[in-house]
Amino acid sequence: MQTPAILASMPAHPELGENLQFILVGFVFVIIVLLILAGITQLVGLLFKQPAKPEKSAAKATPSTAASSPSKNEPAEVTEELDPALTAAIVAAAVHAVIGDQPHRILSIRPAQQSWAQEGRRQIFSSHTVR
Amino acid sequence: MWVVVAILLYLAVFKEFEPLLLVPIAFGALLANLPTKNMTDTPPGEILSPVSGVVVAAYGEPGQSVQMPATPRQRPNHMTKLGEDGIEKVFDEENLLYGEGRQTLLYVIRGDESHSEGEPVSVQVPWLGSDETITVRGDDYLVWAEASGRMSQAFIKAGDAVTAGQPLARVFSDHNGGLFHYISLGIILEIFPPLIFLGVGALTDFGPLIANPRTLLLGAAAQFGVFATYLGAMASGFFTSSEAAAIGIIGGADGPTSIFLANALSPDLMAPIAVAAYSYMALVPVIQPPIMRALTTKSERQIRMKSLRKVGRLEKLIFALIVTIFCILVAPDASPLIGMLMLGNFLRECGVTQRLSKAAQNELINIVTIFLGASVGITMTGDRFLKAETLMILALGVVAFSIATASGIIMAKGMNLFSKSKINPLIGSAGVSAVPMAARVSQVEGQKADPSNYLLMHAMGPNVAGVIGTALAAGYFMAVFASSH
Repeated sequence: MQTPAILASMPAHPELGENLQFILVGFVFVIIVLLILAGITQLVGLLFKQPAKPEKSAAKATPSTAASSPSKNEPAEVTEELDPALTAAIVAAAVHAVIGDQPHRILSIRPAQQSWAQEGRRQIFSSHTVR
Repeated sequence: MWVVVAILLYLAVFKEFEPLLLVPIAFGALLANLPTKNMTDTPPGEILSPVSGVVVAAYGEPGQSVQMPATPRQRPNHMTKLGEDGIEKVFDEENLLYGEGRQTLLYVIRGDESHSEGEPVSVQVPWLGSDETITVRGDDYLVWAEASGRMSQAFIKAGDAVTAGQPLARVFSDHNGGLFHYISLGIILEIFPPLIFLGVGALTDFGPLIANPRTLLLGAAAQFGVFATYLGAMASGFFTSSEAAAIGIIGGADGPTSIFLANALSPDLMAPIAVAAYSYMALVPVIQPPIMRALTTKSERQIRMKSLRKVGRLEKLIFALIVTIFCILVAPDASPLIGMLMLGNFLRECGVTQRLSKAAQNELINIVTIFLGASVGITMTGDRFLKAETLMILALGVVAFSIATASGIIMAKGMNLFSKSKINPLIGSAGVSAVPMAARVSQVEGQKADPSNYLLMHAMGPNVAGVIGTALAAGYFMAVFASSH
């Protein structure tokens, strides 16, 4: 496939008809290319969306939630996320377990950086007695 | 020109209109209009024929000195647009400068093919201070040395036939060229715009576009502004078809693509095109809202769109590969832009090249932006910029943006006629690229109609689709004009 060769010899000062043909071909070219791209992307998207279906049908099969659940069309991963209130309670319990009765206040909860290797090194270094 | 520089600096520094680019452009323009030394000087070397044809007049023997001004001044490389009076004026001025030892015209070459409309004019003119006269035609090419020096070799004399790219002479000097001569090679060799695209790809999340692929059509529709502006530029009568194409791409609201195409099709117009593209990109929040409000009803602006699904890493990687392969197959001329855009995006999404992705997002794009802006600015000499064509380009730029905005909105409204899940037409305006400014404008306008409506991520779809669409339009232009003239 190549760019349309219909206007391979465009003069420096084309006639109106040549200009109209030029812009029509160009605009249709861009539209068609992006339309095809949209179609391909849609098809690829369908492949990625399909694995979620069994979970959805399983959710529908549950009699207590199938009729009343407002989130029956939501992706499965949404239901796996922790409730923010529950997250706050877990973090508060963990902080209390470490700090004890010292006064403290949780100002914000953010995901930690995934620096497991660094943490591992820190633990190894701190396990040695420095002379 | 200093007034223009002051206006650009004011807009950039105090109004914060695209300051990252307008500041380097404005400062480059200031340098261009000062009597600088060793800034833009070109190194001497081989002088090549710009065209296949016959040499009408030739200067010099080996050993003769060739003079060119240290501060560049506009010189016509052919006389197509000059009338009889204009041609006489050019040669009178040239003889004067030669007599003063300030500038030497080396060759007049008559091309095999005429690019003039109708019969070109023939004029008898004096030749470099001698009593001799030569007859030149309206479509003859003028060839100059790149820099002052001494002619070490002369390969061609008057009456000889030459082919395009054939060496005519060699000029030698101890000077090696100025700083900006080498920096500007990044534009001339078409290196900077693709590198900017690498950074843009690394900065862009294509997730919203992948989640809702039909927004690609909004980006495509906005490209109508590019083609309509081409027609407007042709109708003005000021420009050739390739120049009109370079101007039309301003409607894509994509600075690197505008520079890339202008350098390929119309290098003389690159400065005004770049300034227009970046100025109007900065003015997107001013230009777009009235058009958006005029073309939509309040109920349309209040449309809430369905939440976008999450897009996984593998899907994003596949999308990057599909776009690269498909777009390059259909528009090979856009390969440097599309290829680098998607390379940057792949680096971002693959998750194992974070250092490279960060470098592309920060250091690389920032360094290239400085060089790109300053290189564009350094071409803004007064005699090149303060022309009727510049005003015409600025006017056409507004038209291009307006039509592109309107086209995206109308396409969104058209899609709503056939689609069950409605599209808020405000996101159609984001199809003009200008990432992410245009998407932000959609969000702001949407919230004016419904404060709890969030359109930003939906608008990012057409926004990045516009980048791909503009690159495709540029590829189409290059494919057509590269084979034409």
